[in-house]
Amino acid sequence: MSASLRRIMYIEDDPDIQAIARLALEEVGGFEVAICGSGGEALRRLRDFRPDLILLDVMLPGMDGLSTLTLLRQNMGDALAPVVFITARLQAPEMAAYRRAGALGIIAKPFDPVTLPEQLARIWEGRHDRH
Amino acid sequence: MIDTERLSRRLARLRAEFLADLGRRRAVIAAAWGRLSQADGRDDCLQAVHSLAGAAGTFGFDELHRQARALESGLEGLPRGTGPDAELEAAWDRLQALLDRLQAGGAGDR
Repeated sequence: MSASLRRIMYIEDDPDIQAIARLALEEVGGFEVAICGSGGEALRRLRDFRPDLILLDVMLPGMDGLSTLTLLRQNMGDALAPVVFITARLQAPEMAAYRRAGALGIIAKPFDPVTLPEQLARIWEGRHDRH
Repeated sequence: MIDTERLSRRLARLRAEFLADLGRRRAVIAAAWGRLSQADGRDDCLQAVHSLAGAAGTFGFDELHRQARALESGLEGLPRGTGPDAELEAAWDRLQALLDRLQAGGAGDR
């Protein structure tokens, strides 16, 4: 796992949310960002982009976020970067499922573009405390 | 150091693009609405309404976010293979009325 958080891959299908997330992560957070519209695209770009962290939407069309994580893990194994789910689905059973799937953190949607980088930085800083 | 003025300008531009795209989002929902009793129609509609709710909330259209979320919740409770009931139709009508106002450039939100 990288020591510092610099490169973030965000898997999100909605173009408007992609645009505002890019603005938030690049302009506000100063991160290097790759936006992917699906798990399949993420899989194709993971080895080249080598993210420190993956931000994963839950309600993706076709293959949802949890299935996408399974797919990425099957292909990347231990080399897969930590995953943070970003979702409006925050009921207790859903939260438990994200944790069971090994999520490093969960960010609520709708997100505030100004504070999103800070939220990610906090989750990143706490990554060694979660076990 | 963040250039807040530049950030505000870019946020405003993205917000305007979201508003300009509401007609397309609405057409996707309306097309799927006609196929609600079919499994793929329900899933397509749910996905489109979910996306609308998420984007509206992110751009600060709070009323649109709430109404789209209410419709999404109704769609989730719709039994497979059935069409919309009166309550779900009313939620869609309310959302469309709000979209009418927003698309006309009126003060429909906030």
